[in-house]
Order: sequence, then structure tokens, then C-alpha cells
Amino acid sequence: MGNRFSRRDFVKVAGVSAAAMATPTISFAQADRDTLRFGWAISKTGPFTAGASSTQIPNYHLWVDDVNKAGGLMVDGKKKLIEVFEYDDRSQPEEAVRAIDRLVNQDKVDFLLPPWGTGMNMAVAPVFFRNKFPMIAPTFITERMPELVKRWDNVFALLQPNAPYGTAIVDVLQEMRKAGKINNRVAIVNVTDQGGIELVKAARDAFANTDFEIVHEAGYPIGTQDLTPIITAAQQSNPDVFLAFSYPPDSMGLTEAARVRGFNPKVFYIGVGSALPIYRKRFAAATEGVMGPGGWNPETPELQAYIERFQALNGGLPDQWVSYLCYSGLQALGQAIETVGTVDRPAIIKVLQQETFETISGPLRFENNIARDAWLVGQWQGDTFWGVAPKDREGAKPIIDKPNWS
Amino acid sequence: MKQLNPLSIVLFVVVFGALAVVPQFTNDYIVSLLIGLLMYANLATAWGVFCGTTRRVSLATAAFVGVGCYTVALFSETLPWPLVLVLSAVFGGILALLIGLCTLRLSGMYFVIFTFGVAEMIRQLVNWYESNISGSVGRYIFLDVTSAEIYWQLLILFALVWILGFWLSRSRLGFALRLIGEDQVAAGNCGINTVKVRLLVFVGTSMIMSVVGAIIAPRWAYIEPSIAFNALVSFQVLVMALLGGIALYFGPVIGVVPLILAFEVLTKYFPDHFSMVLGAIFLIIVYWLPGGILGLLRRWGAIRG
Repeated sequence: MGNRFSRRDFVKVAGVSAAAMATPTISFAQADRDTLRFGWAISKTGPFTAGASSTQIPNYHLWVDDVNKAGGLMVDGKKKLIEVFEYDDRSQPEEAVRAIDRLVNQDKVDFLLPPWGTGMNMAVAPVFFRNKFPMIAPTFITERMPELVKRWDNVFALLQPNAPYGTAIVDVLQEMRKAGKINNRVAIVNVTDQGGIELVKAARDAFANTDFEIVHEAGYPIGTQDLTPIITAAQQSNPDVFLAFSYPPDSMGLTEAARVRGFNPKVFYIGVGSALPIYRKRFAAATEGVMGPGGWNPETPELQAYIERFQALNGGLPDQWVSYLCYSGLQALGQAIETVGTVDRPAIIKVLQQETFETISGPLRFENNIARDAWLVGQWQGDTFWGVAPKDREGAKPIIDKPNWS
Repeated sequence: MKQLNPLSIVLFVVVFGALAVVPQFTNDYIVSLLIGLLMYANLATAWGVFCGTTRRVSLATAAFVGVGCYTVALFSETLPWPLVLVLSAVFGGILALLIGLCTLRLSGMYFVIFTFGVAEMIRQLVNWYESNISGSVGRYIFLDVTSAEIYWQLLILFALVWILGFWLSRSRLGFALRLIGEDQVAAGNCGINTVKVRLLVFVGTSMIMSVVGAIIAPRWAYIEPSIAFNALVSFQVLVMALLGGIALYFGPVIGVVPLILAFEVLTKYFPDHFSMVLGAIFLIIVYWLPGGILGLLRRWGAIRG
């Protein structure tokens, strides 16, 4: 008897204590605390892990580390250190929503940082909005961004919608053709996922106003392992320009297949992944002349110092498209908080909408909540994925001819 | 049908009544937690009613949830909400009917693989359709539904599921179903139309799963095939039902509560070791809790049946 009761009691106690552990801890109003609480839920497991841990998580940690080393942020008349609450959303929107609810209601964070990827950002945006948290998203790309920011005025995008990336490469091609560097035969392939489809659509629209000839077009499902047939088919159409609106794994696969098959178009453009350190590491000198979305100009002392700090804290190098933008967004948030001087989040959102911020990537300003200036096309030149378009942007490098695969 | 115990009716009304007013007294996080609980309670109960009694393990839960999500994405802007819910049930039912007709002769391992395969196939089909025909893989769902409203819908559905499960456990249909689970041939020889009974219950429970998908979809604001047809949901429902025990219609629910709370504690206190600890928990379930918590309670004599 005694045994039975104690075991049943154990189950009861275990259940109750689990419930208690998951429910409130006593928390104090922000003004009474010495710290500022920052929280985020991001994919540390599941399919989004690779993206989150290369572009966002290291920058979140770096920025917090930098701010705390500098003594904190000036709020309520004194410098306050940042205290971090970090959860794993397991790449599931339901988990992400709950984690944000937990951060807001249980951990009583003062600020939230966004998750990784369009789907996850969409899922948590209503919660950010309802609680009036500024949300400067580093990896939220959608055509409907202008419409979304009207709905949620607290959401800021550091990347452009897809269309500018798609049209920018077409502009680059027109320049090159005018200079007599390429003919007008274009082959396009894309991964049939949201990003790939939106980008290819933007490019197709931009091509419609030109006399480029699309001689080959094909889509392939996400997760395609063998990309040789894709490259072979493109190669058979004998194009001067090869555009792939791809994701990291297939960006690698397409490059590999093109090298193996000796497919040497004059322009070799691949999508997401071209700016990753792993891409450079894998193909080394062969990346020379390869183009893709994004890019940067790391010659400024601010970016040099950023790269050093990033390496010291996180080990590897940052990617050359999103990482520094992510960090710049955090700097803007920090400056907006200090400008307001309190945790008045609606006021901070107003400041973010109106002011210009000094960041590692230069002055950052949001226009209709979307970061104004951005690199749209990058090209590997040596160790760097240089920004080449828009070409009138300060620091833009001229485009080089792509050598044959080495 | 046996007589209803008045005490259980009172208990039912009190519990659901209390649950209904919870959002008034708590914050968004507690409501969020309860939404997770109710979502899986609905799914696991519906799963258990068919799979528990017929001993056929289905991994198609995610397919039905996904159908519900996509019904919302397609029709929520043009049709009134109750109609969207009905439609999602209808679509889920049609899909279940097709799966049911295809799997009449399958059982055991073959049924498991088939249902898993079907769920994956539907995900790929939707993906193909969206990318090639609609020209966009993601769909936006802009409905101004509060968390509390989602919670209440799930709660009402759960009450219905509970009543249905209770009725089934005492009805001729439920008896026939249990008999099929024990020995299909013998059940057939007793004059039970085994095909009809199985189809009926599979379709019914699948409709519930689709409605769960429909209710929860506005919470995510954006869906794409990988979100709507998340295979993990199928596995989690299965594990919850195993933990709870599938011998009685309410068995799976017993597994939902501790697991959701365990997930919560793990995410909060061990965010970096979640998967590892979870794996250990699953091992414990398999090694030490055959028959689930229900089986344990039975062995201790806490419940009969």
C-alpha cells in the first residue's frame, strides 16, 4: 500500500513541479533592475539551424558582448548591462510563438530579437506587434514586405524584398552586354521554394523589358542531391549567362557540377550561399568571378574591427551578406534605445522609423521600415565577396571577367 | 449503452467550465501553453480512438493537420469562419476516405509505412502545385484571431472529441471497433462489416485532425508545405499516445500533459540539450512504461477496464 501511494504521489509531485517550473518566476519592473533583458527564440535545432547559426546567433552574442564590455546601454540615467534569455524554437512556428509569449510574460524581457527565416518571422510578428516590441529582422524576405510593414509598423527589414535582387543582376548583365562582354543567351534555374520562386519571377519580369534571350529555364525541388543533370541541360543551351536562384546546399552542388562538367559561362551567378565562408572554403580560388546576391565592402576600419571581434568570439568568419547587416540592425536598436533613454518601446519604434544610425556598414536608415541602401549583387574577387551593384554605391568594385574553373 | 455516471457529467462540466475561463485570469504565455496542450490533446485523442482500438499505427496525422491549414489559407478570406472549419473537416474526411480505401488490406508495418508515405507525398504534391501552378510556395493568413479565441475553439472541439470518445467507448460501433482490433477475422465472422466500421472511424477522427489544423493555422500567419505538413507532429502525437496508453479513449490525453510540460521545462531550462534529454525520456517510456501511464495505473489498480 505504502509503496503504491508513494509512487503515485511521485507522479503527482513530478507533474505539479513540472507545471510550477514552467510558470512564473518573480520578476521586477524594469526600472528597478540593473540590467536590460533581451530575449530571443531562434532555431538551434531543426532544418533552420544552419541558417540561424551562421547569420544571426553569432551576431546576437557578439553585439551583447560588445555592449556589455562597453559598460551597457544608457537607460533611465544609468548604464545597464544586457541580460540574455535564449530559447530554441526547434524550427517550428508554434514553438516560436510560445517561446515569445514566454519571454514577454514570464521572463518579462525589455526587448526581443527576431528569429531566423521568413516563415518564423511571420509567425512571431503578430506577437511582437501586439506587445509593441521593435523587430529589426535580418532574414525576412518577402515580396509583400511593403504591405506587411503597413500592417505591423514595428517590423523593420534589413534585407530588400526579392524584386530588387532579381532586377539588379539583370541591370548588371545589361551593362556587361553594352560593354560587349557577353552575348544575349541566358540560362536560368531555380530551387522551387519561396525564395527561389520569388527571385526567378523578379528576374523574369526584369528580362521582359530587355532583348536578352532566355534559352533555358528549369526548376528543381529543394533537397535535390544530384545537380549534374541541371547543369548539363543548361550547358547544352550554350549560354553566356548562367543564373541560379538557389539555396546553400544546391548553390554548392551547382558549382561543383559546373566545375566537374567544365561548364564555363561568362557569368556564373548563384543564389543564397554564395556569400557564406563555407562556400569560399570549399571552392577556394575557383570562386573567382562567381556572382550572387548581397556582397559587401569590408575595407572600412569599422568592418575590419567587426571581423576581428567576430572571429575572436565565434571562431569562424562572418558571411558576407547578412551577418554585418544583422549586427548593424542591432547597433541601430541600441542607439534608438539610448536616444529615447527609457524602455518606452513605441517611442523607440518611432525613432527607428525616423533617424539615421551610425553602424559598421555606414549610415543606416529605414525608409518605410526597409533598410534603404544595400548591396544587391556581389562578386568573388580574391578572398572577398565584393559588392558590385548598385554600381554607384560608395565602395562598389568594377566587375571582373570570370576565369574558367580552375 | 450503459448508464451515464452523474458524477462524471458534473466533473466534465466543471473541468471544461474552469478551462473556459482560464484566459480571463492569466497571461498570453499560459494561454499559449494551453493551446499547445489542447492541440495535442485533440490530435492524440482522435489518433487514439482509431489507432488505439484497431491497433493500426497511423503516421498521417500531419497530412490531415496540413489539409486543415491549407483550407484556411485558401478560403479564409472569402468564406465565413464556421464554413471554413466545416470545409476543412470535409477535405480531411475525403482524404481519409481515400487513404482508408487504399489501406483496407494493410495492417501492421505496411499500414505505418503507407500512412507515412502518403503524408510525405501530399506535402510534395502541394509543394509541386504551389511552385508550378500558383507561382509561390508560401501563403499568408491574415485573420484577426486572438490567442484566447483559438484556445476556446480548441476547447470546444476537445469537449466534442471527449463526448464522442465517451459515446464510442460505450456504443455498438466502439465495441465492433475493439473487436476488430482484437481479431479482425473473428469480428468479420460475427457479422461485423469490418471495412465499414474502420472507414467510418478513420474518416471521423481524421476530420477532427483537419479541424485542429484549421483552428491553429491563423496563429502562424504564414504557412508553407514544410510548416503545414510537419512530420514531427505525427511522431509527437504517436509518442504522446504511447506515453498515455492507448487502451482507453482518454488514454492518449494522459500522455499529452506530462510531455508538453516536459517539453516546456526542457526548452526553458535546458534549451541547448533539449533533443538529448527528450531522447532519454522516450527511452524511458519504451523501457519502463509499456502500456503507458494508463497501463501503470491499471497495474496499481487505480483504474479498471
